[in-house]
Amino acid sequence: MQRWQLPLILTLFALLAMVLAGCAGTARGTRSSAFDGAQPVEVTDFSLSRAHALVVIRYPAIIHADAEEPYFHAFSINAIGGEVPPENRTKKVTTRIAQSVIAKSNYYVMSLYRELQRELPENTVLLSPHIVLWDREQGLYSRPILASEQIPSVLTIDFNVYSYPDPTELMDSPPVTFGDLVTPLLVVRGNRWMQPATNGLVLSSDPLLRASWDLSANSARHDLEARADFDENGFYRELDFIHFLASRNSAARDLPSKGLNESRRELMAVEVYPVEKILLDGALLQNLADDYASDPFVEAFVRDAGHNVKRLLNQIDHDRATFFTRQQALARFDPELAVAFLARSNLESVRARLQLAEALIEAERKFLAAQSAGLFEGAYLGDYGNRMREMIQGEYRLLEDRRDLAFKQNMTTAFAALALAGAVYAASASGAVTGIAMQTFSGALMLGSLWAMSSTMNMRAESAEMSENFLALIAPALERQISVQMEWLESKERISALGFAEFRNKTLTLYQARIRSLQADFSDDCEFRSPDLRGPGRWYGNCRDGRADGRGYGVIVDGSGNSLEYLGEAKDGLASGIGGAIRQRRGVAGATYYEGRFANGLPDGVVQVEEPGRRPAVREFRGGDVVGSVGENRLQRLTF
Amino acid sequence: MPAMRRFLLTLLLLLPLPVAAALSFETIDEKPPGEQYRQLSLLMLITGGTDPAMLEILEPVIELQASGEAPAMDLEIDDLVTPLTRIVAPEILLGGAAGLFRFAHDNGEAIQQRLTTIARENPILISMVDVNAMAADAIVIRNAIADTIEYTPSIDAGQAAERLDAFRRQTVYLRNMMEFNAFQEELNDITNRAIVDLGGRLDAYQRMFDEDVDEDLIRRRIESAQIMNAQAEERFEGEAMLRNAELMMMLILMESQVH
Repeated sequence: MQRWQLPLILTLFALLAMVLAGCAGTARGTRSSAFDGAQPVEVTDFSLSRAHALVVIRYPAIIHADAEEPYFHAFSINAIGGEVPPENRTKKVTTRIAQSVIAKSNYYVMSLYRELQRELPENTVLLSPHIVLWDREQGLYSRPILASEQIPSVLTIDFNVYSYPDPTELMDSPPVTFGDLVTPLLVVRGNRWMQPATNGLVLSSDPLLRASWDLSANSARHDLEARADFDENGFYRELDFIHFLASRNSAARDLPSKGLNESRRELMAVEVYPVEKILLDGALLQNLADDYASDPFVEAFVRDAGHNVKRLLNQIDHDRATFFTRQQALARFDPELAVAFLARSNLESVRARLQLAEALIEAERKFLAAQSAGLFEGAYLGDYGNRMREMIQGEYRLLEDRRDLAFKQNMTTAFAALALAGAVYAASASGAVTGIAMQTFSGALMLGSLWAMSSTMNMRAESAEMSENFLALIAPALERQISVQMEWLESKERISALGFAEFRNKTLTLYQARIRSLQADFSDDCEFRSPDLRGPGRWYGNCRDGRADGRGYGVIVDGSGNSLEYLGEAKDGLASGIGGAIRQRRGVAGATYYEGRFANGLPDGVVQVEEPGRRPAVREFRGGDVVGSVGENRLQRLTF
Repeated sequence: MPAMRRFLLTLLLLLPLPVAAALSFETIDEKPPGEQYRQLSLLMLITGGTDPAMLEILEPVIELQASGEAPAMDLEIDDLVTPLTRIVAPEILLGGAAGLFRFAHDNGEAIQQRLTTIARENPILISMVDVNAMAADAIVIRNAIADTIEYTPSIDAGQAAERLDAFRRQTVYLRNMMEFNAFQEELNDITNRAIVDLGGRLDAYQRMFDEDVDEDLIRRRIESAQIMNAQAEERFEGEAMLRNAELMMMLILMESQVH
């Protein structure tokens, strides 16, 4: 090597170190979430029905033993924030991180639950824990453990936290949930009639957008086909995060989306929430195990996210959002009433029976709300919560020590700290505490900076000691929470589920003993047609001579991706009068919604149109064609 | 049959009814607060949801009574519940009903104010009033009035049909409300009991877990909890089958009555 080359190489290394330091700097986490600044609002529920919940929160709670390997594999190959090299995918450390995602989701979801429960009316927020499963036919999937998702809800939120599977790559600032850093993933959706243009999807974390979109589209397709064939809809929506892991498809460029808090809020598109490493307030974490009156995750993220959820609740017409989920709930125990419900009949016999049925659903909601409160008490206030807080506090203290040490060593702080986060998972996975911790740490140093070459053994020893102390504190908690605590949760949920089955039997017996006959005949198989869609249609509601006539619901599916749904008034088998229609066209992402006046099966008169990626607009139609714009005051809306 | 009717009418007139006690605030004021509340509520339930035109239907009966061609007698509200009055003296019943409708129509606002005042001044007494029992009485009276209108020759059936139909619909609605209240009460009871039961089970399980963690012990306790729940479910199924057997027995008895 020539003498002039040395300073050049050193300069290049120094520049590289600065670049890496920049990357690592962002790894410290953000103090202000994308939801920051959301204005506090009071939720006003003007809906006529008392049966529905306002929010159901779904999250991964337990994993079945058969699903562990497929889950670990999917977790390592479908990483958010980077590509894990094949040689790193099978490491035991990855399985520990995958497990920690479920364990920590169980804990952090309770902050979201508590905040929404505190802000929204009593018994309107429900928890829906999922078990992750695997079988040959379905592959990796999840299903709910409790019946919360059977209750009609205005919004459904999927929540989990996330950590990147490969700790050796933490220098690249991928998402992580460790100590004072939390990476939440969110999906918010409703029934497709709530926002037909996006199949009901309203908000999604960026990486989950494609998976959530596909699930919403599949859910709509299955529901339509079931209604067209008068079958039971056997589609269960797994957790969007699990679908993301299992589907290996994250391309979402062709989907109608928009940023958070944009002036384009009125657009019929999915709000996209970026992946954020939220930095919790260290002062609240110092003694988290003893003092958790002020929840650091609520302060840093949940409160603002909650304001956003409440804003959505105020924007949504709750009766429209829950109309079809209420109908599905009725169909579960009273199919005759469910058809009458679609006809939106004003008959007293229908009203009286519907009043009883909705009271039944309301009672189930109260019971499930009590179950959710029980889960919260166990997972947040009880033993599980205490151990999680001990662990998070321990992780935080270690990160802080590491940051101090890195500062003394003139090293990029976050970089060093996160490297150790990976080392903790690795160490707790293998048991080889000091060795792996140091190995990972040293490896990171070599990649990141030149000073490691000249660092003293003392400093290395100090690092090792700190790791060892920490792991002595943390590892037992990790082990226990993942094995025994999961068993505890599972058994607790099993008790809840059995309790619910018993309760439902009793209430259904009461209902069946008290109902009277319906004083009208509603059909579930009359002819329904559309001039611009081939294929046999099915009509549920009032009929004349075997054709749709009067109020009801019609559906046509042509088998090649085109479909039409219509709720409203009909005449001679065609949509005629006031109604709402969802039109899905093959190859087009999302659907178009028309609400207003129809004649001979087509929009005719003043109609509001909602299309994917556009603002809702009120138009004058003649025979299905737009002839001009008109004021909203002339629009006659469909009453759900 | 006319002879029997005359006999029953005579019997009715001989009964110690509070004759000539026209409905007014003065007569009601003489009663204790609980009774005032009950009678005024019953009055509102009987006359609620009717349009003033109901009085027009009853006009011929009032005219007949005034001219002395039909028996006239002021009835108290409770008298209308008795089957004898309904069967024997339709004109008297309709005359009483006309009085009720008129009084309720003329004093609706004042009656509601009185009800509020009584409830405010006597909260314990009013909290014990059985609304469903009053609704049941009101339904009997309303049906009696509707049936009597339908079968009274002096009333034009064609003219009355539409108003009578609306009156009957309101009665059905009242019945449905009454049934819903009873249903809701029982449902709340089941719900609250189930929540308490579940809370107890979960608390018990939590306490087990808070003790020294012994995995084998926990596993055994999980199994115990499962068995406990399974037994509860089986027990309930047994009860359901018993009820079903009762229903079957009732059906058999009903069929045997027919033949």
